[in-house]
Amino acid sequence: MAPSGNPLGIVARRLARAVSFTAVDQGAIERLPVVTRILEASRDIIYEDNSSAHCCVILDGWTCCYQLLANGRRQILSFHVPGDLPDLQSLYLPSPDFGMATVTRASVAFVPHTHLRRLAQQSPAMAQAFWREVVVTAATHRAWITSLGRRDARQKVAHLFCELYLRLEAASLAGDHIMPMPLRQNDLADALGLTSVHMNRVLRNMRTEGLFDLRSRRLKIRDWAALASAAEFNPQYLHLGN
Amino acid sequence: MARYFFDVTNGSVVSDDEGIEFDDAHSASQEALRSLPDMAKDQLLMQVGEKVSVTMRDDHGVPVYRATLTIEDEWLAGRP
Repeated sequence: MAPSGNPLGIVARRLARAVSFTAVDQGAIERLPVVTRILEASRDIIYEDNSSAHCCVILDGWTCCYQLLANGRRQILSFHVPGDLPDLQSLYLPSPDFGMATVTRASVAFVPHTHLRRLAQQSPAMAQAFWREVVVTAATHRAWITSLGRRDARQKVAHLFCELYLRLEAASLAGDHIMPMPLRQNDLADALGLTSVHMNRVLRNMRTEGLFDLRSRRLKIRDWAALASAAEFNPQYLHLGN
Repeated sequence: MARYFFDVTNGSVVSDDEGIEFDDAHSASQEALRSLPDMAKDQLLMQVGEKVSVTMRDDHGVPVYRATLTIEDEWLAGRP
């Protein structure tokens, strides 16, 4: 589904959503020296030199950020789709405080910090775009904390599906209320802090209610207004448009 | 890995026709047990005095395990 052309074009378009880039800025992103790797599903995203001198960019597929407890239980902190820079914060905080893993088979580009820093120093628009990216990530985490702490299971699912749909739509990867849905019940349960048995039951009820269809890794939202209302969804925290 | 099905009874029965894969029956039963307080947190699902149970079936459809949770309350010196 990704438009052809420069592989980093998706990142340039993403960063340019709210910041005015010049053609020079656009070209500078597309010329970043990246190493691209194809990773199978459910693999950790690890930097080969074990240093965190790089950020990663998702070019294709889905990934997540997570933290693990000693008993093996996992909390998924965020999901990432093409165009996302899930660990841009490592530019400023080089020691990672979370893990990253693929959800599906994914194409991930690794970009050296040195080059990103140079871009930020040369272009105020670029520095603003990076800063904005990191604070929008923080805003998204705030919305997730509220969901995890205070929404019931049905509202949590509704909120996550609304969020993912709008993010994918903004990246031109979804439309007409239809989106890819590669997340398995375990992924959803780990993101929403639910048991997989409860997750299974809630999804079934919501399908029966006519809120969405979920089959063959595809989600069709049948009633956007009802889903958004169930979630009390306010898309402002995603800051997609401005 | 084996697939187990989880029917939830809470007044009426909601049958699971999809199932979830687990390493073994023990880990599946643990997840079923943990799901009870998880489900009870959702107020719409469970009222005081109600009982919710999860019946686990194996991949032949045979019920092999059931966990039940009841929430009860009572006034100890007359209702105020």
